[in-house]
Amino acid sequence: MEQERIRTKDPNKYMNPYLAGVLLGFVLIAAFYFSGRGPGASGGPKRVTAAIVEAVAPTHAHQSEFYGKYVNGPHSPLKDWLNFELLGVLVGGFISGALAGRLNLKVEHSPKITSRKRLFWALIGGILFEYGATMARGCTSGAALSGIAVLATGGFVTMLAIFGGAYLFAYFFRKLWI
Amino acid sequence: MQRGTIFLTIVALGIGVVIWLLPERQESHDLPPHQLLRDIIRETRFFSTDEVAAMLINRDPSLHLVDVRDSTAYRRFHLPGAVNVPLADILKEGSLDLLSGDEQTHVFYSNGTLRANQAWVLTRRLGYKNTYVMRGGLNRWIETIMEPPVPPSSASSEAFDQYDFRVAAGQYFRGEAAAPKKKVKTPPKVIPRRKKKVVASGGC
Amino acid sequence: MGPLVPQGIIGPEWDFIIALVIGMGFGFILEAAGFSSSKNLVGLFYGYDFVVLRVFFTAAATAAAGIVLFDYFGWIDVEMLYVQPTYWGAAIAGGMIMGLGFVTGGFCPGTGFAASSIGKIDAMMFVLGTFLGALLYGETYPLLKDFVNSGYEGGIKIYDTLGISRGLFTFLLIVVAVGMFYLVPLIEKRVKKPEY
Repeated sequence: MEQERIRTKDPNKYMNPYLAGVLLGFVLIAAFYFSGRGPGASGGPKRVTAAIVEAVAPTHAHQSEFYGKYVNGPHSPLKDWLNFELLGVLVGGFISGALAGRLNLKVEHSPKITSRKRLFWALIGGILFEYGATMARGCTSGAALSGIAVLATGGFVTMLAIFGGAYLFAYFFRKLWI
Repeated sequence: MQRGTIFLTIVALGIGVVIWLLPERQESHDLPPHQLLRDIIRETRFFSTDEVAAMLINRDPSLHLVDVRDSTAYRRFHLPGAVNVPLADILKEGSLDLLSGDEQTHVFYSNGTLRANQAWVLTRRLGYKNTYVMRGGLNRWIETIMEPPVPPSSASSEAFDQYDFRVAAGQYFRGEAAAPKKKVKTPPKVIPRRKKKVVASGGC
Repeated sequence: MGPLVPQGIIGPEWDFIIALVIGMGFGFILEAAGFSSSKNLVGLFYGYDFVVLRVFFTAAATAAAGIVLFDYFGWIDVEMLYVQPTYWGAAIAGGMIMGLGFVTGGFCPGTGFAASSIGKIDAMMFVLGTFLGALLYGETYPLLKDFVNSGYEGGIKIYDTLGISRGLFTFLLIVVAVGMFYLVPLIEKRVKKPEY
């Protein structure tokens, strides 16, 4: 019985989006209730990068106005709430993927493009996203979602700018996806 | 499916309406400027040196004196039962704990009135209600209680009553200073109140 | 009462453990909702799959409504919550760059991490990109410094910006979210979902 259930499990079957949304809302409330802040993501790579720059070029990091904000503090930039939270994201995502039978090492891409092209644009996308997120002081998680949870004006502005920007540029990159 | 969707829609909108109609809570603990001004110009926030002296002599248990001068000055001289919270430390962990407790009358004093007033404004903004200032501070204390001027013979009988009180009070306090008895005042009961820490930092 | 750690009700040493648990919940839901596939994510921008919009707005409305209610019952002190500071120029320009990153990379940082955890190599490349992006930002910061710090408004709230009450704004947020949930299936029906 159990065996059969696993065999017939469809990896493309996802949680009901409204249920997922409500649960995600509860996670946000819990984050604010316990730690007084919402979950984020882009701040993690920012701090890890600052730590790497400090390890490779300490004087440069300490003199830099940007890295200095993170490396000149009393704690290592690695010892931050967001980094622990992101470790949790990796664990939580893995658990969900394992339960749903979605663990699979692969490059997901449209059949119209090669995986090399997909990987190239994924890298570019990561660079751009983090660049914009650092500028706007938060990404879709930390600025938009957590910002809207506390009804911050910045959260709404950032969300509208992200989705507006994406719709604006979507046409030019449609060949990557459809 | 249709019924479920409609049900969920109604639930969501119902919660929304409830939230809309909820009365607004006072969101800020900080006193808005116009309320602060109203309190600043109110005379009842001051205690005169005579009132403080009377309360000390009567061992009024609600009186809680707070000396906001630095610790050196405090060690040299302070009013009986006063605790020392230098103005610079007033927002530190533990200092504000001394000011909680609604049944207590917290009276700030310094050498003059200025620093006690500053402490009063700061704590008032933080929402502490029962804080007061001893007008004139220790200078006025010396002038009025320890070395009271003799009223002119033409003065009213109230002035003479006040003078008599001051002379008696001065003797009372000098006597205490000369031969320190064991602690007269029990230290005021402190109801611990957690000091707010800095709001969580970070974003994304 | 809340927030518990900033109030000192539970010790700061618990903060990182809480972060880990919150992150696990966050990652689990992102993955379970299908955010571990860029195909589902970018569907929002090509009109074939609005799962992102559904999850995002349900979560935002739930959290906003929940925090307002927590505040009403006195369970949480909203003054102590971290509020995203508003820098108009940086938020708009940064948001547009993020939008460009979204349609090229197919993830956002949070979903990129969640997707990496189940073995998506494209997501791992995206995550690698985020580190390079932070490095690029760090090196170009002196050029941008004046711009990104302009238009600073502090931690302002949207209902103050719009000049309406918090309760009314939260109600409108829920109405807009529910309205969109009724509208998007009409678009999805017309657009063919790509198969891969």
